[in-house]
Amino acid sequence: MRDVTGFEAFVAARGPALLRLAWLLTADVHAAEDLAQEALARLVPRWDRLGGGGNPEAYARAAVRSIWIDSWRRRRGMEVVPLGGLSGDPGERSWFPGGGTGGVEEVPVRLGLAEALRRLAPRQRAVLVLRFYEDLTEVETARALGCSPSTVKSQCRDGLARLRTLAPWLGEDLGTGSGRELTR
Amino acid sequence: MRTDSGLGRAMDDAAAEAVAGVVLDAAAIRRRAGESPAREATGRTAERAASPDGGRFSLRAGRMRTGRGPRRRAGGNLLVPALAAASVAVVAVGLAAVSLVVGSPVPADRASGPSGLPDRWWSPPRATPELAAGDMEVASMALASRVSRGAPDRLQGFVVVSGDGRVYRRLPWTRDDRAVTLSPDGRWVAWASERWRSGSRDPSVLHLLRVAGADRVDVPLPDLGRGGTAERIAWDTRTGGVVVTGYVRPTDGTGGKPRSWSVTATGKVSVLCECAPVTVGTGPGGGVVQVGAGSGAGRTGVIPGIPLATEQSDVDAEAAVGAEPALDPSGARFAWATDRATVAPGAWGVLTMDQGVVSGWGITAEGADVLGAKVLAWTGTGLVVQVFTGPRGAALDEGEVDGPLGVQILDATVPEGARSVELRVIAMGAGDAVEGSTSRDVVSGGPVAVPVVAVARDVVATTVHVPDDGPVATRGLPSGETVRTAAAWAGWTAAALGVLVLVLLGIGTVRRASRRDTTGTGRDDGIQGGA
Repeated sequence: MRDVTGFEAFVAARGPALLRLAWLLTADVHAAEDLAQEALARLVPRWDRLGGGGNPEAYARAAVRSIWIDSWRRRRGMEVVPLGGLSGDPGERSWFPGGGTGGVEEVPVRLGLAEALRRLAPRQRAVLVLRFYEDLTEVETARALGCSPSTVKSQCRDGLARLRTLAPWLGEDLGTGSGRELTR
Repeated sequence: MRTDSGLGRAMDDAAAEAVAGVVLDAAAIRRRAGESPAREATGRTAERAASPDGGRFSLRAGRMRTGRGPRRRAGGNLLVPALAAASVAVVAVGLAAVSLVVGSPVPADRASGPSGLPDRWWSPPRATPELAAGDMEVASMALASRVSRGAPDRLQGFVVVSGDGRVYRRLPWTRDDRAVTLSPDGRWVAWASERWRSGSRDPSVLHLLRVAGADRVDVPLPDLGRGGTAERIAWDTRTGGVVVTGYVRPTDGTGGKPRSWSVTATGKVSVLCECAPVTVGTGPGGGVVQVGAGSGAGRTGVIPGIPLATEQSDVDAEAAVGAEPALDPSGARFAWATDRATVAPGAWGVLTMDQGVVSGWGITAEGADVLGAKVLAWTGTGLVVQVFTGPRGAALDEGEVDGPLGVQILDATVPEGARSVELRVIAMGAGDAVEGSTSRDVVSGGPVAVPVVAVARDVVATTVHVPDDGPVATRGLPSGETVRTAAAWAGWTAAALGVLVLVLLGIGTVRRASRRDTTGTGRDDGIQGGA
């Protein structure tokens, strides 16, 4: 790699975004860091070509997705965080507020969503992340996961239903009113 | 995040909270770039996304949608792949036999000029034996190469070369090893094993191996838990031990924190500082000198608590980024290789920093392109610089990155397209630098540039030069080791052929059953009745 500085700048600028995507897929900080590092490591040998006029972030994001999906299929490599740690009834958790304004008071909500995402099955979480975070269509998500669009649709429906149970305070964001998320 | 949906935003917020404080280390990522296997398939898929038209992903796993019927049909079609596998097995056996022959050292086609270096070296044969007691008294250099451990695998590992350049022996490495270093006198080798990489919960270990006796001491580095990395190891003549620099991973999940340890010859480990200098070395009087990283790039100083008076000097931080400087024995000067325009536009060069004065020399190669360089050590007379060269005008084929060319081996980064390695001595005069002799890799094992990862400073400076009187006799491989290696190959091959026979028998059974199903003669009434 000749443009070391450019790569370092890219890691500094876009690394956090890749970490966020990796964490959403793995639900584990250590695994997310490993995943993001591996994706960026795959970018290294191609940096001289992509760093100039290409789209290195698209490459890195696609690498994060494919590495995670591959490892999840093989059921090795990436750790799957065991379920548990949350009580079955989210209403028992006194720190769940009913909503927020995006300020400091909303931090417990974010932590609650993190826990809720962890409790989803890996496949459900992957479907939701690809659909609503990576903004892939149902067909693209199905192609990425190697399943049918109807499976994606059912997994998405089940995942959202599970999220509504685990995190009812996210009702509006989950499209409970209009069903907007489900029909896209 | 690419979506404006409320759930997407909430996910982004949650993820941001979760990974807050985690910082990706670009240098560590670059080192990791050569460690993960089979990235090509994913890489190509992902690369389509980076194309101007956006591309489309193809990550389908066909087996997930394969039911009983398709599996049965697939079973009948496995004959062709099985025959292909048999052909591959035959070819592999042939290649294995050939590799045992062509992998043997071949004398250099020419001798080099006067130098304290061994006047030539070879790509280590794949059957290079493991270092044993009595093989060599001192080592002059350590190479990173692909060698076999007796089975038909070719793992990356380290090979040490004797002081006279005639004996090659591999170190007892694992996939977790890194940061190999030779002591200045060539009598010891040190390297670190980051055991968490292979899933072990054992602490990482610093290995100190005595070259002459092939015996070693393993010192646990308890701080180097999961995610921790050992970056560099330097010998400290003050204590007779080493200084290890690296990064530790706090248990709270936050980013890596730099830390340096002092390990004495008796195996006592103590934290030297919460810092990770680019490099460390031994200064006058036995002090430990560091060259700073990050905001302190290019700044030399003394690690706190160790008395040593050294001028603090600044150098162009931009020019020092990514460099791996080498400190001279006095601790007052350091040098590094760079491809920046500081030396010459578009060329590689060596910069030295001496009491605040920066000097530079360009590196050229006759009839070839200089693709990279690294300063390995200071000697009494100057620098030992490793220069990677490739055919002039050679295209850098991206597809070769994960292949035999351009592969990153442990700590030694081989530039893309590099086909040979030279060691050069740059003699430092009063304001002048004279490029001296070269020691050239013969590339006997194929088009792989074998990099030097460490040299023994004192050995390089004092080794008697082998006169230019023809090829040097190569010490042959021990016959016992060769026989054991060949036997291992034969065993693996026999096992593979046995599995192949079983597969073919199974395929035949499936096909016969399939024919019976088609003709209706083999139906299981019980199953049909149950349905």
